[in-house]
Amino acid sequence: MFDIIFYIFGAITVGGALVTAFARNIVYAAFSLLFTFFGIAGLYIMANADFLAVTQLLVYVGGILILLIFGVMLTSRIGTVDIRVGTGSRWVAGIMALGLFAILCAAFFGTAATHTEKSADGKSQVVTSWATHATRPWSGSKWNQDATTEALKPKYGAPDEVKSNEGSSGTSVEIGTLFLTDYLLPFEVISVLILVSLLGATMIARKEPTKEEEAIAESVSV
Amino acid sequence: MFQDLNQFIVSLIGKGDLSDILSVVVYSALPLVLILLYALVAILGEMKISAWLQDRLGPMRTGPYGILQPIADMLKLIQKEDTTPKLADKKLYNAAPFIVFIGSYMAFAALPFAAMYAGARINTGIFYIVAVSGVVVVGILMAGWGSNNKYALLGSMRSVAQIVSYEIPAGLAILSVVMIAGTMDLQTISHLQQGGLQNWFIFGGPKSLAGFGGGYAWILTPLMVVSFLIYIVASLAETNRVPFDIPEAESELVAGYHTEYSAMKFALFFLAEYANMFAVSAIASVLFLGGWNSPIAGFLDAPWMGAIWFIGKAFSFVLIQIWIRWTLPRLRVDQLMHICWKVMIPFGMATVLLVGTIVTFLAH
Repeated sequence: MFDIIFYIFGAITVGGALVTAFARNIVYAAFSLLFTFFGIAGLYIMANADFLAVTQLLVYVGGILILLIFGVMLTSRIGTVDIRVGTGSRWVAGIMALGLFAILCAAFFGTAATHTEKSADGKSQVVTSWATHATRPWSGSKWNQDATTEALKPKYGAPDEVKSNEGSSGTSVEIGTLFLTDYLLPFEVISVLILVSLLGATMIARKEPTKEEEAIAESVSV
Repeated sequence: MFQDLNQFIVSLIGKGDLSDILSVVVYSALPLVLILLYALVAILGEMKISAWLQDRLGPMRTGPYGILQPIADMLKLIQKEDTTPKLADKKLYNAAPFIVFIGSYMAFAALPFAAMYAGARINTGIFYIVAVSGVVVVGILMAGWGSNNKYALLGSMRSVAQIVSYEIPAGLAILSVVMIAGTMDLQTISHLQQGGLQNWFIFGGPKSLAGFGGGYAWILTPLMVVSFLIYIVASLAETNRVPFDIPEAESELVAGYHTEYSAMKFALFFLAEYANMFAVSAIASVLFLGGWNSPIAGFLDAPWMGAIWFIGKAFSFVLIQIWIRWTLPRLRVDQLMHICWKVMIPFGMATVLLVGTIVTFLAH
C-alpha cells in the first residue's frame, strides 16, 4: 500500500509539472503548480520529512503560489500572451536536460536501495533505506499502534484513555533544536536578509502620496 | 473497550492491508457525515437566530416551527440547473468548488474529536491545519478567475488578501499555546489539558504535571485570554464572516467569488464555508478550552463522551459566530487592515514574547 500511495503522489507531482511546462495558457501553468507542490509535500512525508512537508505547503502553496497567481492576474491581457518564445536554443536546452537527467540517474542508482537493520529482537532484516516501516512519521498513529510504546501513559494517568505516538516525535523537535543551536547564525542572517528584501520591495513599490492624497487619507482615518 | 476505531476494525477482520484501507475509508468518511449533519443544523440556526435577533419568526411553514427548512433548501439546490457562464474558463470554473472544499476538509484529518478518535495523529498537527488553508485560498482565486466576472474576481482578491493577512495574528495566537504545550500535535495538546477546567490552556495550561510550572502557570492566564481573543477575531476574518465579510459585500459585489455558481457547485462553496466555521471553532476549543476534556474532572469524561464535549464546544463557537454576524455591521477595508496590522499583530507579538519569557522561567 505504501508503494501505491507513493506512485499516486508521484503521478500528481509529475502531472502538475508537465502541465506547468507545456500549458499554452499561463494561468493554467500557475494553477497546476498547486498539484505539484501538493504531490511534493506527500513525497516529503513518505521520506520521513513531516515538518519539511508541511512547511513546503505553507510557504509554496500559501505564499509563493498565491503571489504568483496574483502577479499573473494583475498583468493586463494575460490570456493572450504567447509564453512559448524563442526556439533558437532548442538543441542546447535538450542537451542540458539530458545531461541533468543523466546526473540524477547516476545519483539515483548510486544510492543503495536497501540496507540491513536490526529489529528489536536482535534479528537483522533488509529494509528500504529511505522509508523504513518503523520510522515513518505517522507510524506511531493508528497504523501500527502495537509497534510503538505508549510513552505518555505514566505521565497523564488514566492509562486506558491515553494513546500516544510519542515514540516517533517527528523531525520538528530536532529541526527546532538545531536552528537555535548549531545553525543559529545562518538562521538569523537569512531572517535579516528576508526582512531587508521585504523592506526594499515595499520602498520600490511605494508611491509617495501627494499633499491632496494625504489630506484625504487623514480625513477618512479611523 | 477498544482503544479506538482502528482497533475495532482490526478485531473484526484482522490486521493487514485490508484493515488499513478500511480504516482510512472510515476515518475519512466520518467527519464528512458530521459536516453534512452539522451544516443542516447550522443553516437552520442561522435562519432562526437571525430572525429572533431581528424580531421575526423566521421559516415557519416547513415542518413544525420550520425545522425542515434546511432539508427543503437542500432538495431545491439538488434540483437546480447547473449553469456555466458562456465565457467562463471551464476547467478552472469547474475545479474551483472541489479545491475549496478539499482544502477545508483536509483540516478535519488532524482534529482530535475524542481521546479515541483522531483522523491522523500528525506531529505537526496545528501547523498542518494552518498550512492546508493555503489550498482553500488557491481554490478561491480559481473560482474568481474562472468565472470571468468582475465581481467574482474582485471578491476573490479581497477574500484572499484578507485570509492571508489574518493568518499572521492567528498564527501568533496559536504559537503561544504551542510554546506552553511544547508540541504541535493536537491530540497531545488535548491530553495535556485533562483533569478539569483549571488545566485548560486559556488558564495557563496543566498545573499538576512536571515541567509546566505548577501553580505558577496561573500567571499566564491574562496573556492567554488575549491570545484567545486574537484567535477568535482572526478566525472570523479567515472564514469571511461578518464583520469581516467585505469579500461578499452584497451591495458592492453581489456574492463575491461564488457569484456565478449555481446548484451543487454553489452548495459545495456553502458547505466549505460551514466546514471552515466548524474547523476554526474546533481549533479554538482544542487549543484554549480543553478540546474533548470535560470541564470538571470525573464529570462525564468517559472516552466516547469526549466527542460530545468537543462537538458541543465547537458548536457554541459557531453559535457565537452566527450571533456576531447578525449583530455587527461590516468593516471598511481600511478598518480591516488597521485592526489586523496595527492592533492584532502588535498585541500578538507582545503575548508571544511574554509567554515565551514566562515559559522559559517556569520550565526550570
